[in-house]
Amino acid sequence: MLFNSIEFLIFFLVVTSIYFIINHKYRWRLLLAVSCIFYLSFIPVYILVLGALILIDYSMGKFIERSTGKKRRVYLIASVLSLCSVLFIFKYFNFFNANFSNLAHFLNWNYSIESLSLILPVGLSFHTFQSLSYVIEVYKGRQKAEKNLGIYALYVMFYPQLVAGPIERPQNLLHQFYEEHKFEVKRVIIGLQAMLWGFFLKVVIADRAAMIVNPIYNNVQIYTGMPLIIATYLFAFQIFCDFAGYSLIAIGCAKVMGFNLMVNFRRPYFARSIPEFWRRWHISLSTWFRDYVYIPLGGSRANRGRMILNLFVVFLISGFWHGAAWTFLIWGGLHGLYMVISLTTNNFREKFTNIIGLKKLPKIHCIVKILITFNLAAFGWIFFRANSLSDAVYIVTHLFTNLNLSFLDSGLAFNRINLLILVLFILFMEIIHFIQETKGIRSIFDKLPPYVRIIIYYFLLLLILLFGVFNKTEFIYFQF
Amino acid sequence: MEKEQKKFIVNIIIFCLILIELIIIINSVYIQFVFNKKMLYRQEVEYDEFVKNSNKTLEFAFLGDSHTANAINPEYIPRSWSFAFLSDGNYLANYYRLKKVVEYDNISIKYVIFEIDMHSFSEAMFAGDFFSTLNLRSKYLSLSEIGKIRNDCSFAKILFEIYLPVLGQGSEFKYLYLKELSNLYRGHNTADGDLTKQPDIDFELANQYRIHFKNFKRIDNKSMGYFLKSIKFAKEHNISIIFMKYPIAKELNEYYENMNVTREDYYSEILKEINLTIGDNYTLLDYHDYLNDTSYFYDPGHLNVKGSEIFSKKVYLELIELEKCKTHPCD
Repeated sequence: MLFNSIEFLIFFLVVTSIYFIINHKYRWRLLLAVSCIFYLSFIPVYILVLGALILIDYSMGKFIERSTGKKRRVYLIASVLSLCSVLFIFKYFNFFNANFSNLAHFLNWNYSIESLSLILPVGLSFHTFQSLSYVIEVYKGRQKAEKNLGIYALYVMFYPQLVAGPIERPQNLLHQFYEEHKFEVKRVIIGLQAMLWGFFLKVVIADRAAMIVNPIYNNVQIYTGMPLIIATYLFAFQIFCDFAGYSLIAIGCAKVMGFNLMVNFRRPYFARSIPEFWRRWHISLSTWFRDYVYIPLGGSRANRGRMILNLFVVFLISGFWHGAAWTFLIWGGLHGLYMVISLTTNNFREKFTNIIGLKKLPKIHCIVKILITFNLAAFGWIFFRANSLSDAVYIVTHLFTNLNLSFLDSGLAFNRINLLILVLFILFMEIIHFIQETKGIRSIFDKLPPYVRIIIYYFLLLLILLFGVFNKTEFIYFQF
Repeated sequence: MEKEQKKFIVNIIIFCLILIELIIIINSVYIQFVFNKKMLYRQEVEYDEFVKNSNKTLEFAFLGDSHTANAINPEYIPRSWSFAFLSDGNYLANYYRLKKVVEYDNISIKYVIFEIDMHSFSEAMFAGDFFSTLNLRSKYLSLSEIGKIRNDCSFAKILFEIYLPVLGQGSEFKYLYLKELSNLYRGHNTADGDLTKQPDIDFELANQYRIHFKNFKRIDNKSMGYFLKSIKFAKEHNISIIFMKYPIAKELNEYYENMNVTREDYYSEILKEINLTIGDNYTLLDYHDYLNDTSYFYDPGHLNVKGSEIFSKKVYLELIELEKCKTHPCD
């Protein structure tokens, strides 16, 4: 059941209505039941895997809390291993197997382990990381082990964020299941607003961009120059709108019922540097890696060399988290490299901007930094989106050959009107983001007369209904 | 429930009712002023008028996709009609169109000419959003039949597509500004253009290959299944069957050969299936290499106005010859 489907809208309406009608003590049971139904609508049998993991981590959490000394560590390792091994089997086994097989072939060794033909459970990486954060937090003593198995299961399975996050922390989410949420009109409106904007990003921009990006990225060899550049820039917006759209719908859904999920995106394409980009992009994952990988490795307290290495390793793992392919590893590595360069060249860049006089023009300096950061991120997306490493290499090496606009006349890959509409919608979105960034949209919006607000709602809804793509396109991050 | 909550729910309901009203109005504008400019709709309207005003007999009915729609001009083939699709013309769509013409409209057809081109049975024919424009198709198919055909159990989505075709089609309001409609005659689309003047023929060739063959099975079970259903249907209704291979540009032929898109194995497989289904009582017309001049083509796979005139005249002569041979056996 995808968020961008009629079924989901009906599901949401029914669930939310029942949620507010029934007594508070039955609400978590309702949410758990509907979260199961939601998960079952994808690949039903995988609920058994999820159920087993929930049982293991719930028990381990309790064991960790009850134990002392080395035993705590043993339980933590057991829990982490069980989670990671499931992730490994479903997501990474074939990658390693294929690479070992290639290596063995190269060295003339006999290697004959068959690949597994398993479909990746929806959102496996997300709920695995959420479960990991629970056991780690219990181990660190920052979170008490959950006593109620049902509540813990709901923490892992809460339907708005089950398949693609935001990856929540137990401190933020668990206690909310015990709190009674009243039907507050203001909060419901804020939730619905978030959902509305999320739907706009997903069905109007992301899925419309996919109509141009997919034919090109799935057949890169027949294109050179401009089509590749346009598709790459459009993909930058597609992936943002797809994922930020999903996150907003999830946050909005939860908000309507009274739950606060963490913000996942803060207008990342307004970032002025790559480190800032990562403070704005997929925040729930970035902070997860910061708290559970980067800091335990020594973080910024380690010596400079070690810190740089840590940073690079974290981004490499982050790339691998996204997908078991060399393209994702390179994407992660590239961002690691960006981060390292950004940190090590700080002084030099300061001096350089001083010499060329950009420091005296702060607004232009800011725009230049935003454009450079956006282009670096867009370049990285080539590896993220390319179907294979050879495709990515082809794109990188053909980006600037034949920079003419004759492809627009072919009429096959590019529909001029669709491209124009898409660009207008992206501009519209970025204007809204600019207002959010500079003045804060909520304060402006709340001051508007009610009839203007209603006109804005109608305008957005009509844009979604008239220009949305309704062919049930999956969210990109579902594959992770 | 508190007063504020009640007020909010009432407001939401009013808001939704106004939204529905707005959509209905926009939908009516779309159907009235935009949809009727679309070629697919105009093909249907033109055909409906024919059904109303004729003696309901056709000598030649052409089925296929855009290759047929562009190549066959019924102006040069008297008593014929091109039922070919300009887009998404797979054999599922063709089967239901033939069924509609014969059973729903009660048109008597003497010959049905099926397109069997290099790509006709490719898996690619089902790769897109097939069997759309349900507001037209729902006239002769039930909701459950549509659901079955589309393998989509979301009846809500199907109902929306039938009654609110404007949803997701906002960009089509560009047709409001379309002053000149392209010519249409008995299902034939006049695509005027000249492949020799295309800025990048290599790109066009690669794109044709990509659209039809890259990563797609040459003969897809679904395509073949509906094709066989169609010819079986024609046979059961005593309609004489002709299979036709339409011309493609010589550059495309060469490109396909270089890409190992072979003809021999492909056609022997298809003919084997045909023979198993209806025996060998049919005619096969092969015009694959008929037109060598690239200027007769609109793009590598489709004839332009000039090409379709020459080709249609040739086809008519051949069909007349066939008819003669039926009454007086020829060599």
